[in-house]
Amino acid sequence: MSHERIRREGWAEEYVRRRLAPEDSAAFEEHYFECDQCFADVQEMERFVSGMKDAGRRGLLGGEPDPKPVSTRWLMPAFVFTISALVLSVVGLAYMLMIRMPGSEGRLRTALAESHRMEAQLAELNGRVSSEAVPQANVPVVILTADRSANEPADRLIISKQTTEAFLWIDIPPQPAGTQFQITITAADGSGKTIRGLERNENGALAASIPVNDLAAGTYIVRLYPAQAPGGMISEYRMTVSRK
Amino acid sequence: MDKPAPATDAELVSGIRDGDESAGADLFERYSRRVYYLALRELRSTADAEDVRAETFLRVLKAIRKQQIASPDALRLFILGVARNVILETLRSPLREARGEIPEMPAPEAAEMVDDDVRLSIQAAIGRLKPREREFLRLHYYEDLPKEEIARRLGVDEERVRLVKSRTLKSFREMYQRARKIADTKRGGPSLKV
Repeated sequence: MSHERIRREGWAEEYVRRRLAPEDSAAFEEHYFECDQCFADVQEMERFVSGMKDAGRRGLLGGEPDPKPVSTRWLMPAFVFTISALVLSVVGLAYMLMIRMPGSEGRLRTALAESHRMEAQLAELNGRVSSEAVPQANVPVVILTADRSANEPADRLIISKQTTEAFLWIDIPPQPAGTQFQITITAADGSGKTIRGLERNENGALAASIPVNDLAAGTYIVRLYPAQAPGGMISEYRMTVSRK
Repeated sequence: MDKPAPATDAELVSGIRDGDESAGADLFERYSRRVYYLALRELRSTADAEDVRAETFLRVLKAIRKQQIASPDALRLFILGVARNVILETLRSPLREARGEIPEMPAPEAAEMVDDDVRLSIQAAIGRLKPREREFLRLHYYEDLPKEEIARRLGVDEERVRLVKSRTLKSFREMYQRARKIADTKRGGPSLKV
């Protein structure tokens, strides 16, 4: 089996998706045990295919997302038990009050009101536990690219409810050392925000985190300028913000 | 000055036999990722894959020291063979069965392969696609349908499906490389807070 044939026929994907015949699969393993390029292809393809399946499960490829497992289901028995105990206490209390103090309806009402208050408090506490059980969302990143035609979709930034900040990444051509930049983020209604004092990082890009409270869902125009000459725009990007 | 050429497998075998510790380390460096990947693919458990890797190299080093490798040039095939044996033993081990892992059952997805960088890159790559193109990919990778069936269902040419896959993979590759750089930056690079 030749290296050229393997690459031409896309064996890496077939291997990752377990679609090769057993003898081909074994032969391919023997090949990538000595071929660095094919081993790199296999690892990349494994990430790609697994990522695609993950995206499919999450509904990012269209279709319905798979129902997520309910991670707080274990709270249900505890919640039911607590409510049952509360109801029994209220019944017991009401019984005692009715039998022993028949004339004390006012106090019974007070006790019932108290139990309602406790129920509400319990429900609130359960809600708090449920929301605390949700892990902190990852900081979403948008990579802004200027090399696209106007009819291509804009770069997307997806913000979840838990997100407090997003990460903006812009690759820029080499500039003289010490050059500072500023970017403007302009919404469709003309409102905007300017971020100043940006410098290229060691990867030759501008990287900044921005609070997402300032970003409503919609399309924005992001413009990059040199800080020293804010009139001379370097590049312009389109960014779509969506919230889920 | 030019870097010295990496040692051949035969030189590594010779070095290990002569007690050169760096030769053993070089051998591990050269093949351990492959052994780990193969084990993870079959066993779908990072802990088991790490065990397989360790056991494989123990056996390989022992075999080399005892001069049990007939042809040092065939070292890679020897390592692969040992790794396959250790994987099979692991699949059949009572410990694994006791954990309720039945080898005949289809393996679950390798969650280890889908880290944040992969998710971010996939999201960015599919964000550039039209809805119909996303549908191709959903049918292909998620529903696991062959290209011919997708082409038939959506009424498009098979070549079109191939092109969408190829374009998305290219986009994913670029995004993944950038995501790795971003991750490095987040881990300690000079990121700016505004």
